[in-house]
Amino acid sequence: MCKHPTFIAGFDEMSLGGLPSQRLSLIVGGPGAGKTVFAMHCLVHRLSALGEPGIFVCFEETIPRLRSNLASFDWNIGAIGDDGIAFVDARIGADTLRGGAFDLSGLLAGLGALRADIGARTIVFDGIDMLLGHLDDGRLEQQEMARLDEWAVVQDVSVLLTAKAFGQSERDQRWSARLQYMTDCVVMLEMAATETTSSRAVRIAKYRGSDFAANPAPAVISGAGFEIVWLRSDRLDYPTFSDRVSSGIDRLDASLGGGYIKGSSVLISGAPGTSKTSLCAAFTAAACARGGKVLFISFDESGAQIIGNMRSIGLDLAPFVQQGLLVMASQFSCGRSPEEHFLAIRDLIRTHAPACLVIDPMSALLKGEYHFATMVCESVLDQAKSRGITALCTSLLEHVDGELELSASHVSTIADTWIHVSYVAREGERNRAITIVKSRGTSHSRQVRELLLSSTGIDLCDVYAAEGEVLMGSARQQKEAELRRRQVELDVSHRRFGLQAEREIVELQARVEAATRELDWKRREAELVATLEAERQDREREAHRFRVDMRLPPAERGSDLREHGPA
Amino acid sequence: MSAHAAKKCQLRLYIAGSTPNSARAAENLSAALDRVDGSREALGLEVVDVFAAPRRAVTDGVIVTPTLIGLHGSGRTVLIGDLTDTGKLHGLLRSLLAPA
Repeated sequence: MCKHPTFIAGFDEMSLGGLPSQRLSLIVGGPGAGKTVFAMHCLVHRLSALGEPGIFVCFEETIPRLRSNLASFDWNIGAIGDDGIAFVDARIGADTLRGGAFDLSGLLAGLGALRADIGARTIVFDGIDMLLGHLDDGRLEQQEMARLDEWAVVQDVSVLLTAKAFGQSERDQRWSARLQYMTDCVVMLEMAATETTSSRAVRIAKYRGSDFAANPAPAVISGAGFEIVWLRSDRLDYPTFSDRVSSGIDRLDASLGGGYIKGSSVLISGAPGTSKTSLCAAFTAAACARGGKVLFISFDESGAQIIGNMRSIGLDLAPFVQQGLLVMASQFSCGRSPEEHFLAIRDLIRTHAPACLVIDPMSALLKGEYHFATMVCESVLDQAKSRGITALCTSLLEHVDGELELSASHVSTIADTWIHVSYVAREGERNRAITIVKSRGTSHSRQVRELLLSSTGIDLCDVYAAEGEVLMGSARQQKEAELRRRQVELDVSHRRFGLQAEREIVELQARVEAATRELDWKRREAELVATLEAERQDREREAHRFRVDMRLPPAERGSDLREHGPA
Repeated sequence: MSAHAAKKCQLRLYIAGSTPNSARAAENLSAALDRVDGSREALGLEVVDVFAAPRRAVTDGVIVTPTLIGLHGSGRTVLIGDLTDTGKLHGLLRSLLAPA
């Protein structure tokens, strides 16, 4: 199947290449749904991108009126000549009389000549329902549609028919069935309106001979023309990184195993006043300090206001703005549909090419009853991820069951890291508790920590668990003081025990030394006694022998003194 | 109104070759010009075959074929169809013959 790109962003993706070549396509929508803009966008962009002329046939409006309507787009339509886009007025006047059977041969012959003259390959029949209204005959309608179908093949053109959305009347239903049957591709432009909001959607109802995305997608009409916010279904080609990007808070980085992963999306949820914006500002300041570009998108709060507020916690973002590293963009959340916001954000990302993106709060996009809000949030993160931008977005939770609501919105599902900040009220005070709910691809602390804001910055603090509750604020300080006192007491008693033991050891050692000395004396004393005794006995024996010797005859004296010593 | 001035082509019939509707329209117009007295003499007829001269269809604002256009002064009356509605056809011819 040969496709004819429309150059309508998103549509060529939905339709896997554009409208069918040499076939009839039907663009259906209610008043103001953008049928003419859709068709004209295609013609203008095929001309500018491919240099390929087109023909625009009006069945409803006069050409001057149509031109003046189209002049409001950034297409410079006034500069496009008849050899670029040829306008043909094909209104059948109200005063035209009918006098029998007729067919479209005249118009088609004329258009065929025009097509050959300028080399057109796309022809728009704007308001085909008006023409069919003149035929006013079921058989004729079918016959002329068949003629047109055949003509498209012969002329080698893509034909775009636009028609008003069909009413409930029997006649409208018949047209609807016939037109849809006779065309190869049917594109429905829908306007979804609630009491307070309205948004556009595009749906491909059928595409003969081709696969297509059947789900409706949000659309925006802006100065640039028609655009569809299309979320790619293949998300496998995101660049992946292992580098870490600092959160701007050392202890939070430590809890996250080094910081946020580059190119990942981080969600910070919490009630009003839980310092979500402060966490964003810390991240911003850290990124800018490294020389990285940051795009900070705030809703309902001006950039100047945020910069002013952040000074109170010691963060001065103003120099980064002056250096051109930080772009603060503020938008009002009301008055625009989420898809319009998305396009504005995407354009800002394209213009500034930031390394980091902050959206505060992302939940501004979920305001109102917009049908595509969650899909748009996904698309925003998709934009960041596909460009390797580290994105930080906050989400305001107004209700107790906010977490549930948030999960339902899918933002928490697409975010890689989810940090929740809450108030813990206890004993007459409110303190901020920060928890890392999840962090893909990184080991992280599961501990609840207290978030401390002071004029010198943001810090995290360990909390104490007691009786199944965490202690924060003054309760934590009390606990800390109590623990410190106990510690001092313990220290003192330990030191006392230590000293006592030391003293006893010294005493014992002294006693041991004294006893050793005494032992020595005793030994020496004993030796002395033994020596004196031996000497005394020697003297005794000498004296005895002498006495014995003296009693013997002189001849025997001295020879056997030893054998005959005193017994 | 002189016959000479009136000859200045006050009727244009746009046809698509010899398709059935176009052939019928040509026949019906011819018969009507015979039936309405003086019309054939007074009104100049130009037959434009859009297959042969397709650019004329665009420039003259012809959407369907057959189309009969009656020119009178600055205005024009358009009658579309194969002209089987003789009442409307005769009415058109007579209005063109009538003095302004």
